Amino acid sequence: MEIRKDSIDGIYLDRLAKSKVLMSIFLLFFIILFSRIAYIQIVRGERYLELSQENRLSREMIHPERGLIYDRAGRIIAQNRPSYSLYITPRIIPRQKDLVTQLSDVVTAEGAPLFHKHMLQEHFRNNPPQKDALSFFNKEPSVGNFKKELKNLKTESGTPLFNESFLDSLFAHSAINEYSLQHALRANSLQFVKKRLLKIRNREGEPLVDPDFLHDRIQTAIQNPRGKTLIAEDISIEFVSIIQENSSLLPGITIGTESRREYPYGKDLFHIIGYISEINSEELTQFSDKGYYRGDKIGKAGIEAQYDSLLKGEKGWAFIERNSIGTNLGILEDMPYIKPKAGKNLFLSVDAELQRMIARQFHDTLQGAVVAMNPQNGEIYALYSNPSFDANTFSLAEEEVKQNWNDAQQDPRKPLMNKTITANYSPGSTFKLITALAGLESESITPTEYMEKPCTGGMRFGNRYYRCWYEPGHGHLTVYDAIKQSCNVYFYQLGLMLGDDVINNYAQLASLGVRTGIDIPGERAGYLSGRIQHNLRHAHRGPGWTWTRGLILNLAIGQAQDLTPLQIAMIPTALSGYDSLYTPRILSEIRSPENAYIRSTEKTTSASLDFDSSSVNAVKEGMWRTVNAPGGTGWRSRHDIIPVGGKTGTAQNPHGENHAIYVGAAPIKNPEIVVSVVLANAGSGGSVAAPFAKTVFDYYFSQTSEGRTTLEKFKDRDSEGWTQ
Amino acid sequence: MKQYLLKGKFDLVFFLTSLILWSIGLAQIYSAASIHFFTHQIMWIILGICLILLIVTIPTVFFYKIAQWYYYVTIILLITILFSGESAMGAVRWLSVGNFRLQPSEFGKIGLLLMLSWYLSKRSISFYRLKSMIIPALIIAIPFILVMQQPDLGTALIFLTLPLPLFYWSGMSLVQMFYLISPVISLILSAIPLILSFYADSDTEVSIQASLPWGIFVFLLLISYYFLRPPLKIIIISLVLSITSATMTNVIWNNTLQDYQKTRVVSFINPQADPRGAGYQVIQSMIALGSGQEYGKGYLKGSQVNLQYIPEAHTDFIFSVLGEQFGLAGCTLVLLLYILIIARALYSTRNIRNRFANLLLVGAASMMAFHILINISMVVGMMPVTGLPLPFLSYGGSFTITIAVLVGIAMNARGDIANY
Repeated sequence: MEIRKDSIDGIYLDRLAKSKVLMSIFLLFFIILFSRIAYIQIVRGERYLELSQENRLSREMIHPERGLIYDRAGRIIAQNRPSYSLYITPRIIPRQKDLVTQLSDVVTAEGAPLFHKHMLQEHFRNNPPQKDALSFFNKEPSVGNFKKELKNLKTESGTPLFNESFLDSLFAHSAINEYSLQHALRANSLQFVKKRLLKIRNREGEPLVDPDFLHDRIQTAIQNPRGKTLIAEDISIEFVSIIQENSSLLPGITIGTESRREYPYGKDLFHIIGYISEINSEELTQFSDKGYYRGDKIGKAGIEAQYDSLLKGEKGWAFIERNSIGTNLGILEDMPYIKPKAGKNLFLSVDAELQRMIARQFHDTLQGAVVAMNPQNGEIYALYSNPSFDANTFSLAEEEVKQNWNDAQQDPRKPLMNKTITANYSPGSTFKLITALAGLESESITPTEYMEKPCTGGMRFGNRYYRCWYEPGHGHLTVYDAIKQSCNVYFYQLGLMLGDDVINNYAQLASLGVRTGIDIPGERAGYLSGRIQHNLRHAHRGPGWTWTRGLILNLAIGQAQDLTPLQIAMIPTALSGYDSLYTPRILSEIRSPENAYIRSTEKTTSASLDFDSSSVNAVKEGMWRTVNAPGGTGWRSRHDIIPVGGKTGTAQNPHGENHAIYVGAAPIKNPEIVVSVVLANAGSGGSVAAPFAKTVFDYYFSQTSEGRTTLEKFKDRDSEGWTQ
Repeated sequence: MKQYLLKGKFDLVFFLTSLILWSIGLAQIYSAASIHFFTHQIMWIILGICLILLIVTIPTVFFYKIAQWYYYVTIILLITILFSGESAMGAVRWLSVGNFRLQPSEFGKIGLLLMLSWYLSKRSISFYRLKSMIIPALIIAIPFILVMQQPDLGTALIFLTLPLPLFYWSGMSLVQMFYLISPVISLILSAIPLILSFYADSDTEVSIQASLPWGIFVFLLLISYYFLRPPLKIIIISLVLSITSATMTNVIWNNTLQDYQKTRVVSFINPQADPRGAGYQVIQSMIALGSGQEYGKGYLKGSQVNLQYIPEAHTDFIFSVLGEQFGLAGCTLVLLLYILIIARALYSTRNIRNRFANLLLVGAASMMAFHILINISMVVGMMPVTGLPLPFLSYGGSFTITIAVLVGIAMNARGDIANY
């Protein structure tokens, strides 16, 4: 193989030129780099040298303000307050000096050392001082007691360390530089810092920290001397100022500012707002791409969890300059800086005062839930579950949080559980509205038609006798009166006419047995009975539990289903007579940290309801009669002016007292508010639950602007029937 | 032996300069990393010296003969690594062979140098004859795509830059080079307003001035068509590609990229904008470098180094270790030594008739220069942190061997004069 060769003569000059061009290009870049290096090292050198001194520069995260939460009337229901915590960084605390160093650092007014170091060393070798003499100054050193303390110093054998006459002559000749004395004798070992911290008391004489707790924390801190260890959480502003005044005596102690969440409505809104708490490792891996860091607070339930990404804001980063004892000197200029962005403010559809009014009516022992919502767009007005928990607990110091949290978790009444969306109750007679609707829609019955068999206090089906709640019997009934008097026998017959599939078809349209899609996490789907569902659920229990037609009777009167209080509220919502069923939602508007409008949430349709208006009106008439006609079971929810429609329910509870249930809508012609009340083990729906609903209607039509407008309209009218 | 040193290809200047630089590097590694790295590096350097002495004795024609086969082997290694490599720092770069961990991308650098020199020594190429560009483009593209898969951006950058001086040497004029890289220039300049507007608050408009550099570039391109009269197809290709690349940059930036991806791009291009991640490294490296001032803090007295504030101090950021300890004086000395090696290699070409040896010399010098320029730009915060070591100073087995081979090849090619 022959290598191609260029002729020397022709190419020499070309080569020379090309090598010069290449070299010039490279040189040009080298010169640019050299100027950059020289700029960094000479022009900016001083600054960088300063920055390179130990502990001067740290890269720190700046936490953004979490977004605020408001209710529908603009009341603040979740806000932030500043809180101060103390941290210790053992590495910053200077080591304690030995006696020789301390004494030899003291200088006279002329600047000459008081003691000569090698003389001291010589002296101490011959007369070893006592052990505790190594740090003989516990109080602020002054010239006055310096001499006194020196005289008190003893050797190991107990004789004075310094000859008294020597000290007298020494002090007679030289005046001590007070600054050097303070500087030299200030012993800053960890033990001294600890002692000083324990001495700090506020005006009431309360100590800053508990001695045992501080001891534990310092032991932890020693394991990680470079890092910051928390020693006191959420301290008062008074302590902050004491510590700042004495910061020179407390090296390595830094004050951290953080913001804590505060919920002005406390217990009343716990299940809606939820709470925030430190992110756990599971969530860290789950949301690894969302920019969370260990130690961040994250929403754990309710709105705080659902909209955490909106509320949390974006973290800032900055290079913070700190002096040698850890004091923050501020954000470093001309260094990269990412400003934190505060989280968005959320406006909810909830009415905090309504929620509070509902909460006040509950005894702590009563378990139950109340839901109020607008059927025209799905906005939730109230969503209360009792008993509740005060989320402000999470803003207390760690120890108290743990205690309260454990108590709440072990409470058999489950205060942490949001019963409105997770607890299952039988809807009881309120479900009869759905059965009635199914019958009318499928044209099995007409509104004015009487049911075949009269109610005689019960009916026989198969080999069993199924009772009505009213033993004397209701006699012949139309659908209106069957609803009004909640007659079981009527609905047993209707159920048998329709079958489980037809009834469940209509139930599912109303979001029963499926998640409603409300915008807080943890919702449960509930359970509608029926041939397939029943057999699936009881498959493991053997042949005795298979579906029989007799179970349709239970299904038709609402004793077979498990529904959440929110789903129970969907029953009157579906019967409002509007074209669509809207997904319940709590968030209504998102605003910027300055409360400038960003966007509002649109109502979303979860099912379109193309019911015949005559069937819906017939059920509504029944509901109206339930409340307003003589003998109706729901008369306790009657409103003076507004025509209310409702349905009571009493769910049989094999384990104890019956559950009281009520659903209602007002004004019944074009409902603006629907309510569901579920009170566990409280008795009958008509007597216990209906009055609860009345207070909600009263509030709505007197305290809210929308309600008052409607009230005004109705005042002018004759309020006898609702259809006029 | 004396004969060999004086009349053979061995070059004392190259050799001594290398030894001095290696010693300086060893001193930095000792101060920046554990003794383990120090002893390993000594081993690698000894191996490197042996390689130099070995390569010098081989006739240049041998490299000519093995060039393409060596290239094929490195390509196979690069493919192998994609399937069975060990990962380091999130990127797959290592290939274990017994007790050794090889970094095929390092051998790929030599492979590309040999292959391009071999090909270009047989044919001269011109951008105006597009057909002549096809095979060189393939030779570059294959290893480039393979290292991008790892991903090893530093090496990929070397694969892209190394061909430029070789093309220039084998017949391309500066004007042709300009047309060749015009789409890349267009892409970079068109990104300026986008990135500036990303920094700016939403309420401040990014002024038209940000688009000015791109405007000037297009103007120059058009002017050059008028005065230099390149073939029509070149006009079309360079103009279309330039405008397409600028448009694509805008389209992708505005429509495809999410905000967090934009942040990533921005912080890659300007690490100082982001104090997390890469920004932290660069800032600590600049503090180290800057705090060295004129004469440095003294050996083993660099606080940034001792407190391990500089990540990757013994590899990619070794230059800031040097800067902190020896200041501008130390940096200048090292830069001068680099310039000496590069200049000596480049100026040796004038006496050599052998085209292949010529290209080898230019390639070896350029590859070293690119490594140095890219690495130091990165350390002083002028370039994205892509991960590329500094010749002679950085720790690294495969890399030290690559540098030794480059020195050996440079010596060998330079000495080719003796054969004629």
